[in-house]
Amino acid sequence: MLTVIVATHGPLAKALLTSARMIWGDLPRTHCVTLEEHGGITAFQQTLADVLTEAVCHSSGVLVLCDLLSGTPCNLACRFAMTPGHPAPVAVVAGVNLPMLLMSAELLEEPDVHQVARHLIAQARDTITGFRPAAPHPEIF
Amino acid sequence: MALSFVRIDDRVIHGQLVTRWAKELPCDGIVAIDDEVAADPLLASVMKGAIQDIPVWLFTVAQAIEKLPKVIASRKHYFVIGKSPVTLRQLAEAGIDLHNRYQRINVGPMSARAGSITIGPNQSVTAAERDAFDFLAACGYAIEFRLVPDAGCFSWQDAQKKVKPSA
Repeated sequence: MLTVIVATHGPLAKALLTSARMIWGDLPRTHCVTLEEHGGITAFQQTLADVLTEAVCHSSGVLVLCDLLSGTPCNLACRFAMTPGHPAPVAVVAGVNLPMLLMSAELLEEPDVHQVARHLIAQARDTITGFRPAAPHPEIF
Repeated sequence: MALSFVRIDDRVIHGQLVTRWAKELPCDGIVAIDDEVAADPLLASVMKGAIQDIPVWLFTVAQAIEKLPKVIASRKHYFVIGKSPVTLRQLAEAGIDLHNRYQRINVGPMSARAGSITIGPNQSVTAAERDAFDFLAACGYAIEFRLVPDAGCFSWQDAQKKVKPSA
């Protein structure tokens, strides 16, 4: 089974999980790590390393969903992911949003975390869209 | 049996949740039933637009009673979504057979309102809804509260213990 970790600047990750649970119910194997203004980067780095280390030891792969490409949470997650020797692979995705987090809940049993990351990016991209009225369909009933 | 899934959801059409169920069960179209939404063409259009690749019909209860027999007689597989258990009770009382391939009536979100009792995450019932669930259960329908296919669930029998605590 995969583990999902949402890592963000400030309270976003925690709030995303709260919002996602309101819609989806429980999200098993999903955790959050937040970079707090007061705690600073050092504390965040330690917490993220702890959560990631725990996750790689108890998962077939770890998916880290970060808020911002090249932000600190993303950079530190990528650094961890690229460090050799973990017992399970780590894939990092930037640009997490609520639809993406909900979709990740369906993919925990997939075998390849990197494939899951690609799939999730493609699916989540489709959820960023303007409203279009539905095409008229025949009134068959 | 042309109904593949029967659900109660107070959001009626709830994009990503409905499409999640449609991955689990065959779905050639969705018949959504609520007097209020069906009477509001703008809201109806917004809800239909939320699901682009599956046809959606929005009916009042009266329209549904007239049209569901044709839906059920069809060879295709349809989802029926009612806004509340009261909606489904009205259908059952009018003789509509709600048996479906999923073999249960599934219940999704039911928001907290004045006078409602919370029985699960994002699931609250009023007195009228309790009566409606009792009626549907007495008709022999299994009723499960489950937001999405992989989520945990409980039955109306489990929920009854919360709404009618034994003294």
